[in-house]
Amino acid sequence: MPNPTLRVARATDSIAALLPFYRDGLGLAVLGRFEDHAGFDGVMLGRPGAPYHFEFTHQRGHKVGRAPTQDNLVVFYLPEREDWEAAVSRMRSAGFEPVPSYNPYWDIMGATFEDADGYRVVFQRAPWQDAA
Amino acid sequence: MNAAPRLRIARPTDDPRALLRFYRDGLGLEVIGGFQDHAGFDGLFLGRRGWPYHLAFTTHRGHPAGRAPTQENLLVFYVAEAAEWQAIVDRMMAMGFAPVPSINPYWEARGKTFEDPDGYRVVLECAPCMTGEA
Repeated sequence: MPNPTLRVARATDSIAALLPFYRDGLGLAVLGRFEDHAGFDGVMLGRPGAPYHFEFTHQRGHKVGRAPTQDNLVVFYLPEREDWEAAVSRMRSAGFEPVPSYNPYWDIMGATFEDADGYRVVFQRAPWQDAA
Repeated sequence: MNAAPRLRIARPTDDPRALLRFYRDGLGLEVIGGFQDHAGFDGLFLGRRGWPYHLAFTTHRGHPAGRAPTQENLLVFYVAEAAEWQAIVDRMMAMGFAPVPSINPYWEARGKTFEDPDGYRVVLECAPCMTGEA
């Protein structure tokens, strides 16, 4: 079966607080937004045509709190040095500095950033290869 | 950055074997890698060879991970073929995973929501059943 398009979604207490990180820092495009669909607000971010995208939702009147661990990660594999450096540079320009990773593995070839909710994104300067 | 870097969605768990029943035997993903005791961390990678994304479930020895923080931490799979969608739903149910009501009723229209042993949820959306709304 071909890969289904994947949406990585989660709730947040502040969509607005996440936008500087995912839109300005990661450089993702706002693919869609909705307001008060049965009490839910949401924003979808990604790249048009990409096989995955992200969604952040807020249910009015509900608090969801922060990430449960420092190891809830989204990892982008950026094997080309210039792509990796551009990604890190854009995050820094948006005001986000790398943090030490929870698993030291990601500090070897990666840069880890923490969003406003405590969820983390890693830029890994390596290819991803499926095991043989 | 190229259009779509390879993506990993990773999180810790306290029971990777319970997740195997859900993600491998139920959803039909394959174990495509893993590692043991890298500085106290173990990991299991699930996906399909050639797919642009995969899942990783990790354990850190001596550090409990706990459960999902909300019922709205979702992975939504937009399955392109209705027959394939039905086959996955049937397999999930045959494995003993019954659909749960979604918190956001949006997901009830064309999908089935399943909750994994840690409380994280997967939505199987029947893409051809959609009417065009994002």
